[in-house]
Amino acid sequence: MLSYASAESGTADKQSPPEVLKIVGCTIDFKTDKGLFRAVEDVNFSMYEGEKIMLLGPSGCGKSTLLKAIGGFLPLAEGHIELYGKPIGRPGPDRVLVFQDHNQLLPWRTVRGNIAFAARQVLGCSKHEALAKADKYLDITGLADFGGFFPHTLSGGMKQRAAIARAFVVDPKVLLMDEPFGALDAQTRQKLQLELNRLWQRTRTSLIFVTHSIDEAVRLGHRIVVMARDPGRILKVIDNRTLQEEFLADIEAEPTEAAELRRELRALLHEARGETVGG
Amino acid sequence: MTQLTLAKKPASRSRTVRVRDTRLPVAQVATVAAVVVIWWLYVEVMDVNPLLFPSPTSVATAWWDMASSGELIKAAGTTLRLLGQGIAVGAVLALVLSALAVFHSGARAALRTLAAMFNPLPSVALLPMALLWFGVGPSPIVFVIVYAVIWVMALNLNAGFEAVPLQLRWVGQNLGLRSWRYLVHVFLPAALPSLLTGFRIAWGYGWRTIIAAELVFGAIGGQGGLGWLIVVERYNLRSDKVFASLFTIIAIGLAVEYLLSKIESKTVMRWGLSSN
Repeated sequence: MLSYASAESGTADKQSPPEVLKIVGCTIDFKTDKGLFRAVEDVNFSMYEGEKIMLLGPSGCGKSTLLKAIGGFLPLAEGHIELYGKPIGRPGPDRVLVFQDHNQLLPWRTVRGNIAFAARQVLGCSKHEALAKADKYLDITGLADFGGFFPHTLSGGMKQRAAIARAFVVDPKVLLMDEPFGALDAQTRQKLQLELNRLWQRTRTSLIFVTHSIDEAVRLGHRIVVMARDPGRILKVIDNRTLQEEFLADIEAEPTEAAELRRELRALLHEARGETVGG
Repeated sequence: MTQLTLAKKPASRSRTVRVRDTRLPVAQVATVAAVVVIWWLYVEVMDVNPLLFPSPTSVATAWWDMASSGELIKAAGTTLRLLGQGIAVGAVLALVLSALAVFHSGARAALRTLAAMFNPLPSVALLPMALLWFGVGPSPIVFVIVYAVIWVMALNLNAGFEAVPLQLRWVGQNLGLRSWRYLVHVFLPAALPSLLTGFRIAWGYGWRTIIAAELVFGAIGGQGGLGWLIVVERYNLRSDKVFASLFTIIAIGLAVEYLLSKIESKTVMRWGLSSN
């Protein structure tokens, strides 16, 4: 179960994985009272199958805006986004978004009901199958005992687990995660990072993950796209595949390269905020 | 009795749901008992003419007679059937109007204007004209009930739809929900608190309207409802039966209130939608 980044790829099998998402010259404007506000300017990058891309940047750098545009929820001012070579259309189950806000489960369905409903709706499977799938994902996310609970009775961490399970059950082409762990305490956050990596190892779902935590980016991403603000743009794309292999094996690993990468990212984020690095 | 206060301040309650104690509070029982005792003392001690104010015991007897003869049930059935038809038609129309208003800003402005314009008119005032338009029979009554309930229901539903959090709408779109499935699986359940509020007020309006209509215009299509019963028994100088009818009207009002609060506790309160 090695990823495409493994040593083998250098020998016989030179084929790189297919391109999932292609973002070309993507610019996003918002209308405000004072006229147009440019949230994202000329962003270009491609994403390959089974990749975990982290969008890292200070607040206001447009990372979340970009994610929503990929989801089809915001229009582009310029440029285009392709999913497997076809321009993306309106929002749909091929690009599922997981939010930071914990109230994203349908309050009138139980946790199990939320996941099963998604499976039925998107995959068109029978009620029985949908429930079986829901139970499987409840099991994987450690929510087996809470399937019958209504969302408002759960803790924030559990709600996010359920939302992630619901997103995985529909098997999207791209999973878009908008700081899903941003409002959790440090301990829960680390647990969910581990669980996300475990889930990903089962499904190899291509995912884009927005965060402003350097540590999260380092632990979860194959590649880290660092964004800067005013206007929102890409500052640098960092290849993190080698480290990611280590973190996939052990999320709590502390390789020395990780410390170096964190230092580098800290400096980049200073720059991203428009501050100059002193000393 | 809560209805009275409710009906006076409609839209403002939009999302609040009362938390109610299911046990019968001592204070409530005591109050009802006190009213009956005072009533009984007044009639007995002052030796009131039973035609003007019958005693509690004679009212209870009359109620029992009317209930067991089927008279009350028939009258209540007539009233509730007409009311049910009116509310059902009104609810469907309100749903269509408020759904249109969600997706179209022009329709929204139109709905607001219409409701602001038409809601202040007590619908029973339209009955004379409705009789001309629809002729004798249940139609004019159903019409005034539709008119009584539609505006408040449409306004509440629309407010509920507009309050559906963006995030839930996006979740619905992400799951590929479109048109009526989107409405049924996201908008309607999310707006249920407002829907129930609207229904509660609408029911109160409709209930008042139909009793008033029956009082003024009597039997409809040969069948009399509870309002009609009051008129007839007063004619027959049976004040005890008039009172029995009045208490039936109160009892039905309370029963509907109870039913609604049950629905609330089984749905919106269970889902945690009421704490806003």
